[in-house]
Amino acid sequence: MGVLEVVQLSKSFGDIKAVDELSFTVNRGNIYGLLGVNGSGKSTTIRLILDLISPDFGSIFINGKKLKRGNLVLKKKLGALIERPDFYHYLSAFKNLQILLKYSGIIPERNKIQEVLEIVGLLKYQDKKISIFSQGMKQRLGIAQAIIHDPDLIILDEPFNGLDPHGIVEIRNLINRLSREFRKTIVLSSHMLREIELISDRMLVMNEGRSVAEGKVNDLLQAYVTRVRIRLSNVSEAINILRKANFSEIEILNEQDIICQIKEEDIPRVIRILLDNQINVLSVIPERSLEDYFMSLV
Amino acid sequence: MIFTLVHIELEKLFRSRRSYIGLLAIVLIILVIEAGVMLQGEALIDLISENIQDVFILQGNLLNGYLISFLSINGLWLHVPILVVIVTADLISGEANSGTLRLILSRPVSRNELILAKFITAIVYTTLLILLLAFLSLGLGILFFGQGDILVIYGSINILEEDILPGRFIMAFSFGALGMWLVAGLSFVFSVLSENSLSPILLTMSVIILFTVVSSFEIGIFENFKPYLFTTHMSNWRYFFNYKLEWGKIIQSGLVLIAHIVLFISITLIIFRKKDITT
Repeated sequence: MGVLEVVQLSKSFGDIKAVDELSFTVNRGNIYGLLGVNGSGKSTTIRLILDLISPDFGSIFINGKKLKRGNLVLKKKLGALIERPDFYHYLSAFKNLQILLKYSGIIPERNKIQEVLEIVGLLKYQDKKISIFSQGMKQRLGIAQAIIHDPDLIILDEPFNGLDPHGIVEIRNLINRLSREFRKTIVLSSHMLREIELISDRMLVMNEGRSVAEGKVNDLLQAYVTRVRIRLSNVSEAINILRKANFSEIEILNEQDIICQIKEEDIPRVIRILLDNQINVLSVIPERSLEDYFMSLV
Repeated sequence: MIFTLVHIELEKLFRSRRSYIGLLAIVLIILVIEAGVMLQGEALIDLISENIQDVFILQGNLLNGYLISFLSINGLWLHVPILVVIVTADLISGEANSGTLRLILSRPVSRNELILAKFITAIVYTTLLILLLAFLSLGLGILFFGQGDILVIYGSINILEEDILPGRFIMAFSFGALGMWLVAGLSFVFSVLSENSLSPILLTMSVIILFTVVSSFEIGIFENFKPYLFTTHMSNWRYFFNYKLEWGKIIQSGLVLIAHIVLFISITLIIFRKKDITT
């Protein structure tokens, strides 16, 4: 039995099918990625799980119990950050968390709030108003409010939105910490394949409200033909050798770099062939993009 | 849980600067009226009594604190509703617009209890506005202009002695508060349908202005509508300034206002229970 089971879930807005017969299961302790371009139905799915919108068809089970509107007991087991982290900008970070804890029916304890602010690295800003917070700080506070009531399942909708590379790393580390250290089950939606790949155990790829692929992240990506940027000691010779080995989709990027279109599972073989032929491989960087990945699926 | 929710809503309300706009406006309105009466008081008395000066001899202090308060209570027509709506219409749509509504509803909060808590908060705020209006207009008025009888012409000429006026004002302001609760209730209906702050304010005020205009027409087809318009009953705080209190009419109007409040909140609850939170 999964912590979260979504069964044949459907939701339309007028003529637009936002979610179409979607099913998946999230097991305890997993980080489960929902991957899709904007408008693919990820946020609608998350809003359905949080009972912010009602499904047309289908069911959602949390710890085996069916979620119905007004079932507040089940909602106590959920914590969520939805799209962008909005708070009461005229209140401090501490006060916002205090109020949100009260909404959860929990008597707010100063120590508990400060402990969570410490986890997300905002303790020293606890008395500052949200109006002066950067996007990254708001995202971290968004995660703080999602975990402060100690939920079984944490749902994070586009937690990397609007963040600079440093902010992305911070949030990624925080999510990993929640999973590994605090043993939380996490559902994470993003349009950034790289982030889903780095964090998630399993993923579901969505397109136009439907499931396009579902499974372990490594399994799904290994079968995917990707662009790999390889830095080499001898580009022209490397191309000849790879073409002889039946790797024909190669382009020269510059004097040191080539781009190969190969399956991920073939990357070790390509490296081995090059090394066996005394060509030094300086770096191998997969250049996946969500668009490319989708094109391979749809 | 409802008490906790009311406590949270009140805390949010009084920590927001927007909430003090109405209270500040009431203070300014009273000060303007006081200053106006101080400068042009005699002209005002002449204006009020111009039709009866040939028939009656008016003696005593007609320019007094009670007259100031009576002028202030006339603000219940329009400017107090605006001040009420600025805050109450924002209680739901403002949170939808800012994204905090989804933050609340992603937690184990009953939608019914949330709306009821917000409405209780709206009632507290509205009552506070009316109390401020009453205390300031009566307090400052009596302080600066003393006490005395007042002359009110509503259909008939009513001269109300100063010893009965405190009770009449308490009843009139209480009835006025009931009318303003209705305004808050109406603003909730529009607020739950909207996802920005401005639309429910404009829609509520449009309905009030339209109904008030229709209520004030003394002719033709509009006469038939009048008893069914809540604005007709909202303005019946005037009954407390008739020399003889007509309790039958007062109770009837009060019940109509209460029925409208219940209706508006019921509509709000029904819509909100089914509402998809997409902002």
